Amino acid sequence: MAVITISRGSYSKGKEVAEGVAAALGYECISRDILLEASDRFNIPEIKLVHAIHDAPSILDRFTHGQLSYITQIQCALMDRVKHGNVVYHGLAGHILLQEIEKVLKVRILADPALRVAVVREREQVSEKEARRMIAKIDEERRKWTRRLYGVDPWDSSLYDLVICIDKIEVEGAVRLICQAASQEAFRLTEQDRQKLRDRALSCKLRSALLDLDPNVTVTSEYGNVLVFTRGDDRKAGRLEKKILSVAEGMDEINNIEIRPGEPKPSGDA
Amino acid sequence: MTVVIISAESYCNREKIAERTARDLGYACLGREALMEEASRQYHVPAQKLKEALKDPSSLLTKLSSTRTRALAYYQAALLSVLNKGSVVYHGEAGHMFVNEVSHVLKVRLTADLERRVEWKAARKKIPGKKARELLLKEDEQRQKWFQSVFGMNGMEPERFDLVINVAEIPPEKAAVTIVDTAKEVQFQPITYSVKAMQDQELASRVRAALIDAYPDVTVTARNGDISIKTKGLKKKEKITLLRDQVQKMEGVSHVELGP
Repeated sequence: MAVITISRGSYSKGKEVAEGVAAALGYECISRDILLEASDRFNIPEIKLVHAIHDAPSILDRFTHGQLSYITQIQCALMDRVKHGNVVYHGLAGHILLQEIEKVLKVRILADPALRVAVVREREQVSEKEARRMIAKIDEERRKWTRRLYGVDPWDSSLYDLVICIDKIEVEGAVRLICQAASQEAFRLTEQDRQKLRDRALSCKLRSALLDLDPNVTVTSEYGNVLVFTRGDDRKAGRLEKKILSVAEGMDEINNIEIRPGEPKPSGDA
Repeated sequence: MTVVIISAESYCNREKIAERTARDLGYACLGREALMEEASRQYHVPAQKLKEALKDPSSLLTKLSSTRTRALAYYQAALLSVLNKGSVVYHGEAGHMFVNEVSHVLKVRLTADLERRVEWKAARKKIPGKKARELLLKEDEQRQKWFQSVFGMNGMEPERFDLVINVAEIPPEKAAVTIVDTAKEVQFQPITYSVKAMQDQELASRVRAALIDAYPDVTVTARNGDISIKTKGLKKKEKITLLRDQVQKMEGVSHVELGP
């Protein structure tokens, strides 16, 4: 039982690898569907979510509050899907969105530029020049997005547990390698790990629901015992507390909830 | 007959993983130091000189580019002679840069994040973490400079390898299993074309190493035993004849073409 993220350059056969791994291990394979889920759940047009996760801000811009909030909603939808383990997630910055989760097997699939160009040409029916331009643009966007938001370069191989060049190893070989890695102790989820995943999904879910009330809200959860940290001052605290409690009321996974207004946000939590 | 080349960041258990891989595959295992000894023996150059030329980018010796060019030519020829025999695991920093487009060569990179490497270095050297970090960063910078000065590029981009393994998460014995299994994949088994490509590269590097002392600018290519040599150092007819005769006698050479 594991959670596997497969990061890929566009047109690098990462989808085929992810589907192969999921089929071989009997896992669920998820990707773009989390956008649809986030879109349905939070009533946000899918196109806005797509832009939030694809488009990097310009050098002078920061991510807007709206974009950050969309990314949180996507993260929430993803956490909800991976919380029971046995999942292969590919695309859309999985290794970043799940970076605080231990024991995730993080894989990156690379392909020779010539192979990517050939795939684009066949799939999009464009010239070689246009294919190169498209790939360069997508790569640059992805790089900027990750750098601006998380301060890391997605091309840095130390972010991953395995980097596989698909040219020679090919899809079947990559599938075998990933399945083998996933069976290792380091990536096998224990009951305690699964509980952490459920807690993380819960804190993400509550935070997503509270973002409109307080964009700086932070939530932690341990065995369903939830702490909510807000930056609200005393004047607003009472009102905010009421709203938080009313939102939390609909969440059966919460055993107990405490609100800590004005307390600093603990690091590493949703 | 498959060849495995393992490159690694420092403190990533390169030697241990290479030895385990070689043992499980039943291959020979050779490291950088042993290869330098081999190059020194084959080309009658003191091993210490080779080490200096190949290791330290700031040493005076390496600043004399012809010295480094010669040392690199000997090193490459010795390496390709070993790799050409097949069934070998070579572990060294730059091995992957010396052999290209041979499909039965599996190129692997071992990596780990800086924090873990600092931990490992501090534990192994029994020094404080801060000191270990300083030393590691300095060593990494030296390596980058070396690659830049020798190859004119970073040389460590993941795209240069078939497989990159993060040994901070995957322990050495499991990393070795992953490499062994990959080496057994059909794509890494030798085929006639890849064997010929390796033979050509080995022959070209051997001819170049034999000529580099007299002709530092020499470039050599080989195709099925046909050798093409280019150097500006050939102006007199007698020299051309001598050089042609010298190369023609070398093992594996069937025909020699010379040009400026």
